[in-house]
Amino acid sequence: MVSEEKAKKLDDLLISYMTYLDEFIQLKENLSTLMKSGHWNLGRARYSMGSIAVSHFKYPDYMTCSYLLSLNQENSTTKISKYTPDLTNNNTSANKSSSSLRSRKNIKSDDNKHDSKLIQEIMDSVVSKKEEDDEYEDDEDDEEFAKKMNLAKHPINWFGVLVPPTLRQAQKDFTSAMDATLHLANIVLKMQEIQRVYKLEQSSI
Amino acid sequence: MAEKRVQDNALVAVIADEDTITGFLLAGVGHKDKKRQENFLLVDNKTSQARIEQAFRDFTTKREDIAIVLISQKIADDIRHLLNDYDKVIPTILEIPSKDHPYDPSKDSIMSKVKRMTGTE
Repeated sequence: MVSEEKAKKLDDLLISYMTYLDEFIQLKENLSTLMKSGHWNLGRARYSMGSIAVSHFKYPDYMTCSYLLSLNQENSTTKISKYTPDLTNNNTSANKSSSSLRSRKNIKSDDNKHDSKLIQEIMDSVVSKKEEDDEYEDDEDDEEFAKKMNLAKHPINWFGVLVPPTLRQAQKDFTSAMDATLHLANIVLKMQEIQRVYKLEQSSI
Repeated sequence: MAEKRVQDNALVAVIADEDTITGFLLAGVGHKDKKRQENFLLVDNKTSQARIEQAFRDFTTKREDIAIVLISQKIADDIRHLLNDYDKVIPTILEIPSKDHPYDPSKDSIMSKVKRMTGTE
């Protein structure tokens, strides 16, 4: 005989599971729409630039992922969120000697400093992930690598300098699609956790 | 309840056709280091099923820096046996539509798990 309390708990779990399922289905439809638009714009860009211009032949030798994720543990559920490197220290050190109001002629050089700090941050994260890679000792290699990493940082530049607006729109569509998949992944994790708890509660009856 | 950070700098892996890969690479998902280790597999009509299975196993078991694996549903159908046996939490597997094959919820592994849980299967 199932107690009323246990039955209510199982019902609550099932209701929240169905709520997440509804959200999952809506997000999938949203993802389909975004990807459809992305493919359409990619096709249009390929039509104007040429089929080889927007293809795997243009992928560079090195790529740096700018869409990084961080995993957090909350109670017994894992949560995935977008990782943004902390650049506040770099920013303060770059602007240490300058006042809060920058003169116009110094903005460009400050931006270059900021960009090079960002490249350094990304390089550090790549180096820390692959600690056994010992090929960064030569200074010239570092500079060459930094140039390639700068290119790798902006994927739109792989396909040329003056790219059509359709390619930029495709990039926006797929970036939104990535945000949707991130949200989807978190929904799936929550559903898996509810499934686990539900099975546990059911087996204890 | 406080959140505990488990891992930073995790990547998204993609197993899909050229257009889908190009799109997600434009979004900044691609990663290729000096050892030519990539976080994506471009699948065309010459790619063998063994290659796809190997890539799936690499992304889900060998590599520890992948948090999400995106796989086109058409390609997922070819390695359905691996997806049905997959029971890890991280990396999370998500089936995505491709240019030529729209998303079919009846084939999604998540939906089949839902059916099993609700007893409709």
